[in-house]
Amino acid sequence: MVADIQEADMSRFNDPVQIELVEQTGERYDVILRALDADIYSNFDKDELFKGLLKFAPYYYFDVTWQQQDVVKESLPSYFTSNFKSLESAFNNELKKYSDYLIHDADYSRKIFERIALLISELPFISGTIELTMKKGFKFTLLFPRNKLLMISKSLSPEKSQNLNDEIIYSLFFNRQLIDFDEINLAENKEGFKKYLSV
Amino acid sequence: MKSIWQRIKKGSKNIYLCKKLRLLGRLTYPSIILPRISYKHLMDFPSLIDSQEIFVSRRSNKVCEDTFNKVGDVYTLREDAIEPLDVPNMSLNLMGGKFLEKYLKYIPNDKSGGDQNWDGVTKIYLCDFLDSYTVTNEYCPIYFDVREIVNQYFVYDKGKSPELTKEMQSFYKMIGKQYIGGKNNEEFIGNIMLAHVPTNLNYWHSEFRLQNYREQLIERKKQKWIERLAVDVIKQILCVNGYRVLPDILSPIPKEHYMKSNT
Repeated sequence: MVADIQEADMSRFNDPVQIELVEQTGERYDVILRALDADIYSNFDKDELFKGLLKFAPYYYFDVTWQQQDVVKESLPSYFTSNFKSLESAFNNELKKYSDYLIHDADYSRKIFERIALLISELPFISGTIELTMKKGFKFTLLFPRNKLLMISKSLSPEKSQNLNDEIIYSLFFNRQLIDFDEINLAENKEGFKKYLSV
Repeated sequence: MKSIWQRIKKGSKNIYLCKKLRLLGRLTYPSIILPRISYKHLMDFPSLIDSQEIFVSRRSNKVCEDTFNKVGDVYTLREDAIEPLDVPNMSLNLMGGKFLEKYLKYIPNDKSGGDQNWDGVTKIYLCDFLDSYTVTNEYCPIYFDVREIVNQYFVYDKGKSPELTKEMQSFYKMIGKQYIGGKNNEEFIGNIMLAHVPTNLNYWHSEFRLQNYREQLIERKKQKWIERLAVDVIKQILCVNGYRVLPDILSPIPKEHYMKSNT
């Protein structure tokens, strides 16, 4: 079953999800999101490849190293989809109750949410939720084994262009005690978090 | 000083009026939480906190669903459950004494007398405060384990200020500490205290206090730096340490902590 990438719907993905980039003859590249029950397919010109990949966003965050003539795969953890769905459901509930906290329209806010949630969903949390805050942003609260709690805040600037990055503020708690907080780029630090929180 | 007869007269009037209003269902305020002259003016909180686990409560004016997040089997406070402006000198109620959860529904009216600090000597008659409170039925209790919130440190900045930089340098020099200036704003470390502040209508009233780096009280004022630090305190300390229920077994406050020793 093949569908166009533009019509991709997260709900159709089963675990695991893989991305494949395949160099075709000429200057075209196939991009396939491979799932158990469906492959999402598209192809792009070489010059347009990375611009084209951005069309995945906000449906999928990818961090693929690409080499010519190679097939590059990245597997997502088995819990990715359920994590994302639980956060998405919490976000929808928040929108119903607290949409007046938003400084941008709901669609734009959802894009920012998805961008961060797709990164966060790769972390092995037991349970997670999100709240819209009066400080005009989102706060994810994630519970991990061994009494670790991670809060990730993303504030939204009135300037839309400033929101499309992966800068977040995290607060990490152990036994309800704050052990660290900082502002970081989540995409760049995701693997470190994953490693620590998987222990 | 009132004469004995005046006090007896006032006491009788208080009993009669309150009894009549209670019978009519027009007075429900719990007189058991009023200050008594047999009570110490102020409890020694540091000694109490050192000696046992104690909890304090706060009323959220929202329903519990809008006060807490449920994350697995853990509850955390929503950030909007407490207003940043309320954080300095935030009102709390000491649990384990006479104050019970159901008394959270009584809200002392501002500047009504009921919310004024008790002076430690005046006998309180409930009939003097009948219009000093309102009753709400929509609220959610928030509990804090005092040991998890007091003596916690927080970092704050007051914005760029040459005056403060000079002050800090001078202070650090005095105490022999190395001064490391901030890149933009000067950062300070404050800490959290809990103080017993009995009011005319509630002996068990206490306050959450923020102290600056000189251990001076940070007052409740509408200033940006105070709001910033209050938001940080909510995020980093209060949200994770707010409980929805008290532990099954709550240690009672020993009488010697609040009763005068000669009574």
